[in-house]
Parts: sequence; C-alpha cells; structure tokens
Amino acid sequence: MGESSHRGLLKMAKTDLDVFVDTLTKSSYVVLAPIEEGEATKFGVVGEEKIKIPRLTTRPLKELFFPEDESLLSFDSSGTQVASIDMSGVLAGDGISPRVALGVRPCDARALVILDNVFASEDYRDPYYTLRREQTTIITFTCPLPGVACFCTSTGGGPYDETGSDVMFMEVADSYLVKAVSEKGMGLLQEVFPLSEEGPPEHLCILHEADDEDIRAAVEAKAAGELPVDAGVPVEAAMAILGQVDAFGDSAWEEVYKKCLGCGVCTYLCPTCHCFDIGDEVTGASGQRVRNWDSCMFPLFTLHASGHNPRPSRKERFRQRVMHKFNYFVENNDCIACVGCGRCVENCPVNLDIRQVLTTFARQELT
Amino acid sequence: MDKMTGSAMGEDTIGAIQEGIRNIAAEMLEAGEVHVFIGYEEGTLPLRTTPAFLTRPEDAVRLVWGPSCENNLAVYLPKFKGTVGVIVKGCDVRTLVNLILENQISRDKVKIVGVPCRGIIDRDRVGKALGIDRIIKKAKATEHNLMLEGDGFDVKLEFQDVLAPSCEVCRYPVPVLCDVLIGDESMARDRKDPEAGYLEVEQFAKLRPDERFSYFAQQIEGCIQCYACRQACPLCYCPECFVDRQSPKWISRWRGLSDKILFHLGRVLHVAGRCVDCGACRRACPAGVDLRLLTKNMEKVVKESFQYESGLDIGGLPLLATYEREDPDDFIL
Ligand code: SF4
Ligand code: SF4
Ligand code: SF4
Ligand code: SF4
Repeated sequence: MGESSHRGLLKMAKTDLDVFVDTLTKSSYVVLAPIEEGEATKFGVVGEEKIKIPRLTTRPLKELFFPEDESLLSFDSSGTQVASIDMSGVLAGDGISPRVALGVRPCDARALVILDNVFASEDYRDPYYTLRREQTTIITFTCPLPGVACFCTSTGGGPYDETGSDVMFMEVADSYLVKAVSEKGMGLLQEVFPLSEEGPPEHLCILHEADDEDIRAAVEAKAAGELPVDAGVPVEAAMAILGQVDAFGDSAWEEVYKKCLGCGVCTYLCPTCHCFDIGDEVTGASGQRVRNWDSCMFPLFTLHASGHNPRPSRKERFRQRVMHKFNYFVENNDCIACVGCGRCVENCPVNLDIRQVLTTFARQELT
Repeated sequence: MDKMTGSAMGEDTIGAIQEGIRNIAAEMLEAGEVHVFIGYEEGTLPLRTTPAFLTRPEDAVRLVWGPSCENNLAVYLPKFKGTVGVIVKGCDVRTLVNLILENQISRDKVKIVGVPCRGIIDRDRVGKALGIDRIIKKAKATEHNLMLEGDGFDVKLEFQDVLAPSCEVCRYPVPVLCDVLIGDESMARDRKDPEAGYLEVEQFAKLRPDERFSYFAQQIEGCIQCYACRQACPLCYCPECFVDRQSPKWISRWRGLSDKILFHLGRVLHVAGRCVDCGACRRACPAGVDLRLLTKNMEKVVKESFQYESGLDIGGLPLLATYEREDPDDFIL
C-alpha cells in the first residue's frame, strides 16, 4: 500500500470518530465542531465531551471565518500627534493556528465558496477572512436527515454535494466512508494518518480502504438521500422575473413583506449573508477598529447622516434581501447567495418563508 | 354558533372557533368595517401558523385557529392607517390595551376579535419531549393531545406537557377587552391563581446573587443581537431603540456579554409595568434566550407594590405615568 490509498475511498468505524478527532488534536490541529450553547448549537472548539453532530447547527459555519465581531486593527495616539496603527496581530495570525472544521453539512460548506466571492476574490482579498480560510480544512458530513425546511437541491447543492469541502464523511450503516475531495483534504489525511509501506502505526489504524460493497452502498445512500429534499422550489423561474428591469416595482413586494418583523434572524443565521459594519471603539487615546455583523433588515443599515433613508420601510428592506440573494449577487458573481439550508425558514419568528416568496415570483410576467 | 357551546369541546371546539373567526372576518371585510383583517393562516412547517393580512372577504377561508397560533398579532397594529380587525388571545389583548393606553393606536381604529384561549404550544418543549433531530413531518392538535408524525415515529404527547410556560400560569385566558368574542368563556382554559405564576420566581430569588447572575449570564451569552425579541414584542415600539442610537452610543460594536446584558436589562426595564407575559419575545429568539424570570419578577414587584396588573383596563393611566408621594420604593436596591 502506497500513499495513493488516500486517493481512493476510505472507511472508518463510526465509533472511531473520537479517536479521529483526538489524533487531529494531538497533531496540533484545533478541531472545531458543533457544540451546544444554551438551546442553540454552533461551531466551536471541541471540549472533553463526545462529539455529537446535529442535523444542522443553529448558527451557521460562516462565523468561523466572518465572526460576529472582530478587531481589524488597533491604534494608539497617546503622546504623539499621529496615531500608531497596528495590524500585525491579526495579520500574523492572531493565534489562528491550523484548524479543522468537522461535522460541517454540505450546505454550509457550499456557502463558503459563495462567501469567497466577497471576501477572497481576485478583486479583493480580505486578509482576515482569507487567513482563516487558509488555516481551515473543512470536513463535511453528508446529510442523512434533511429537515422540512431544506431545499438545497433547488439551489444547486444537495445532501451529498462536495462543493467547498476538503474531506467528505458519508454515513453508511456503522461506518463513515471517507473521501478526500481537495488537495488540502488529502494533505490533511496524509499528514495525520500517514500510510507507509509497513502500514500505519497501530493507533492510526482507523482508516481502511473501502471495498466494492462499500462503494455500492455509498451510491445507493446518495440516491436515496437526495429524495426527501424539496427540489421543487422554483428558484430559476423566480430569478428570471427578478432579473427584469422593472422587477423592483412589482406589485408583489407590497404583499410579501407584510408580516416581516424586521429582525436580524434570517440574515444573521444565513450562511451566505455577509453584511457588516465597521467602527472604532475608543477608550482614551487608544482603541480598536471593530467589524461586526450587520443586517439589511435593520433601519440603521442604510440610514444617512442627513436623516434620509433610501430604504425607509420593511418593504424596501425585505426586497433588498431577496434581490441581493437572487439577482444582484448572481449578476456580480454568477451564483445565487442561497444554499437552501432552511435556517431562515425555520427560525423566522413569523414563518416568512423564502420558498414561498420565490414561488410568488415564479410566474410569467411582472405585475 | 350554537354548536360551540356546552359540551362540544376538543377538536370540535378548535374547529368551531376557526369557523367563527372566518365568519367574523368575512363579515367585517364585507361590511367595510375594517380595511385589513389580521389573523393566522396555515404555515409552511409543522406546528407553525403564519400571520395573514386579509383585505377581501373571500380570503377569510384561509384563516385557521389552533394551538400553533403563537404570534402576538398586536405587534402589527401601530403600523396601520385605516381600521384593522385583529384576532387576539387573552395575553395578546393585554398588550393591545397597553398600546391604546399609551396612545399608539386608537380604540376606534381596531376591531378586536377575541378568542377564548386554551393555551399554545411551545415548540422547544415539543423538541425536547421528542428528542433532538427527530424531524416532525406532520402535527395535529386535539383537545388534550398533540400527535406528531415523522420518519419512523408516531407520537402522542400530552398537550399540557408542551404548553407554553406563560400559558401554564395564565390568569386571563379570556380576552379582557374585545368587540366580538368567538364562542364563549367556558371554552377557555381555567384561570390560574395569581400566585401560581410566581412560584418559580420565588424559588429563583432564594439563590445566591452570584448564582442568579450566572444563570442570566448563561442565557444572555448565546444572544446574537438579532433583536427578534424586541421586534416581536408589541410594547417595544420605540421608533429608535436605545441600542440603535449612535449619539449617545449605549452599546459598543463588540458583541460581548456586558453589551448584551445592557441591551437585555434595558429592554426588560422598559417593559416594567407593561409586560403581560405573552411570551412572544422568548418564542422569537433563535438562540433560546429565556429571560422570563426577570420579566415575571418585575410583574410581581409591580403587583405587590402598586396593586397594578398590566393591560387590564383602557381607562386611567399606565402605571409609569402615575406618581404619588407615598409610592413604595423598597424594591429599589
Ligand atoms: S427573520 Fe422573518 S421577521 Fe425577521 S427579518 Fe427575516 S423575514 Fe423578517
Ligand atoms: S437565504 Fe435562508 S435558506 Fe438560503 S442560505 Fe440563507 S438561511 Fe439558508
Ligand atoms: S431574539 Fe434572542 S438572540 Fe435575538 S436579540 Fe433577542 S435574545 Fe438575542
Ligand atoms: S416583553 Fe416579551 S412577554 Fe413581555 S409583553 Fe413583550 S413580548 Fe410579551
């Protein structure tokens, strides 16, 4: 057996997941996996407890790369006229060591590729985001239990979608079938679970080559796994209408937003929403430039210093959210800014369902 | 509406109330008594209904009633110009009373359609009772039970085990103010003794201050500052919330615990003597933040100190608009 084994499909007993994580930790990787915070779940550094992977974390994966608050730089103007500005902390890594995000679902992984358009494109590379991206290997678990709000298959993804993942874990009976889908993923497996001519050291003996039967089981699981997901949301048809010049004035906007409360649930929990605010937090002569999440659903988002607000009511704000995801973002980046994870659907306090909104617009003409 | 009275309870009661709501909504819209009628319609997920804004009588058939009608629709009222018809539960109407008292809406611009309430379902409790990650595909409520179906399970829960905490101790399940009451008072759940609601608060008050602090800190830690709690509360109607003020700035851009605590304490204090324990804030929260012990304690302080209960009477003045030299102040630390 040579190194090439990592290129094929591997297999690991489910009960070895903790050993797998342990081995990563011993190899100096910070392992981030779903953890509980009160009633909610999110990605965080795993503790002593056994890893439990929920269907989908309440909070999206994006916050590992685009956190709810972060310091961009610090400054100090005490004693001198000119402030000294220090970005070195963050850019030197600021303690961000190589990390593995484990237990990611395919929708969240796909969302990272969408976010890359914003924070890590050819035109603009956000150093903070990019650094975290580079330092992180994504281990995705295929989705065995799609929820009732999921519609990933309507947005180009699926419970077995590999976009954005470095390694895929596929649940088949008592095992995980493990597949490196990127060079980075392969690198991680080869580094942490090296295979040599003599075979791996005993404690690393948790990854084995999958046989034909496993591969057949994987194909079957995949075919069955995609079925329960709602593939019928008319995303394309809605986009065709939203892409028309006069879509802004369509009469449906008057109706669809009405029950919206104007909170930040749908945007903050969305794995692709990425709006932020930047400002200084100053104490005395020194301070930090802070970036934090912001939401197009808040009135403050577009409030001008003059007092004028170009999006004066929830109607304009709601329209912005839909148009940004299914029209502007598409024009700019050639992909929609939605992965169909269903978080906004499940968590909206008034059950304002984006799938219904899209259905409303999926018609022949503007009205 | 004869068949709704007497012993015709259970599923039939729910159905009969629904029928009653549809009829009233259609009548009001037909007669031009209201420009908009706000009720509930079928939601897109099991255990969910969703607010519906109707303008045509023929749409009244979309309206539904049941223990998943969890939203407090009074939150929408201040936004409307014309006359609005609205469905209210016992707690909802008390926030509406406050909106009238505080001059946010005028009594003659709202047609209040009251429902004798049997309590609503707490989805978090359902989730806990069922065990995590069991995906409910279908749900059906009857008088005493909640039937849930999903892949590989078919469960019957006792309604009282998944009832919202506020409903468990509700003192006013029959709306205290309405233009039309659907059905009759006997259809509502039993009124709870006022003290029942304070048992939990009293227990909690016995803990040491640091234990109490750490409980609240733990709740607030998970807050993502989405402000859904504020947006869902009919009484949080300030055009500009203090946390949104830029000058002076009350909270920083850091999403730290102290800023989050400031928001929550500020909000809770701003609903002092006004909060009616409708639970809308708690239900709206995607992070499961629960500060009910705080609001409930405030309600208790107000009741004991001023013999005042919020939202019962549109006459007089709101508590915070009154002052007497003899007002007690022993609750101030
Ligand atoms: S979560 Fe729902 S209520 Fe809140 S802003 Fe989004 S659509 Fe509106
Ligand atoms: S818009 Fe909703 S369904 Fe789409 S990615 Fe965002 S949270 Fe998920
Ligand atoms: S709804 Fe929950 S998460 Fe959002 S601001 Fe309120 S407490 Fe925080
Ligand atoms: S604070 Fe919460 S419980 Fe009190 S009235 Fe507002 S939404 Fe209802």
